[in-house]
Amino acid sequence: MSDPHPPGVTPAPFPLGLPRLHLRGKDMPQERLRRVAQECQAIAHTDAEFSHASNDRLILLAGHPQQEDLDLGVAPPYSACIEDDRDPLRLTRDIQQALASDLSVSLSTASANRLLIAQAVVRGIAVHRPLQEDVRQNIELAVHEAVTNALIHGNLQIDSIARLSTDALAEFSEQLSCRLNDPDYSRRRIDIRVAFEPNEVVVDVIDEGEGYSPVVRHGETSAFGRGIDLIIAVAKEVDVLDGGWRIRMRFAL
Amino acid sequence: MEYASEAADDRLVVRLQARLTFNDHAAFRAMIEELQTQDARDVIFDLTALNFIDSAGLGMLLIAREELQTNGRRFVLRGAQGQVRRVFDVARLSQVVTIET
Repeated sequence: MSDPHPPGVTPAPFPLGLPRLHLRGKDMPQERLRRVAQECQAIAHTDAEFSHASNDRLILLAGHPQQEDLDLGVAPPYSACIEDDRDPLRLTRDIQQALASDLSVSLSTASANRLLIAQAVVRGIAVHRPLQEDVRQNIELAVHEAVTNALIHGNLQIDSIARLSTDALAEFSEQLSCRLNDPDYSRRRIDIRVAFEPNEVVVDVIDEGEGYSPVVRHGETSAFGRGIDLIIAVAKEVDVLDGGWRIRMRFAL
Repeated sequence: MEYASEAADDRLVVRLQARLTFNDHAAFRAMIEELQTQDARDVIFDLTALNFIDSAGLGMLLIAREELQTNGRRFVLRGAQGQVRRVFDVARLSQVVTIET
């Protein structure tokens, strides 16, 4: 039986001609999607069959984000992929924050651990701005390292591997698996926000850990811990902001 | 990460494929343990088919080197190209590891 009140039929009272916000929900309850859309004055869609004006904003909300959702959500006509794993009010705030960026991703740590975020984000960036191969590689590497730092050292609060041994690697694997199984850690968020500027692209990676103060390391005694060195080497400018919760990277285009 | 190994004379060639990143921590450790059971003196990691590496991937290669050298083996990297070669250059890996081109 068809739904007598499908979520797409009650558009928010936006003036004609102005951009509107559309939310597409995937693997999320219809009632919940409807409620979030109402909070954001957005138009809700439960499937991909919808039409929108070219200047409208489109955001993908995914209950159980898969790689294909992430790849879809970071490329036009979408401008964000947001995981739906928290209360509608928090989700509404995530949506509002996403509207302030040109392109964004907001995922739980558990999802960030299994998805190729940097690869998706750099592909999304490349749709907006043509990228030379070396610039594309720099952005993907830096975003990947920043996301990995946010995930391991930020949200999961796991130290770098201090010794070059398989035993140390085994300890790391065990600690990672233990923290990923603990919702207090694995539900923490990782946000990636992209802003396009005239000759630059600015990427912020934000975590919810206890704050992180990167130390530039040299030598070869630490196995995992060179991430920030690589970011500094390939980005035009790197800033650690908000007490270590946010790393901002600028890349010249 | 995927890999295939091939032994000839006193050399063991390990071909790494696709990506080598922090997500491969368990697979990489299992691979090192597997390599330790073989008795070739030279262990050559062929990276021709590897298309992405991160700092953790570099760290794991250093772990492999440390473990193999502790067992009296010679550890060599070869065939890095594209993004992998670039990361090796940025990290100045050639200062600490034998890299054949």
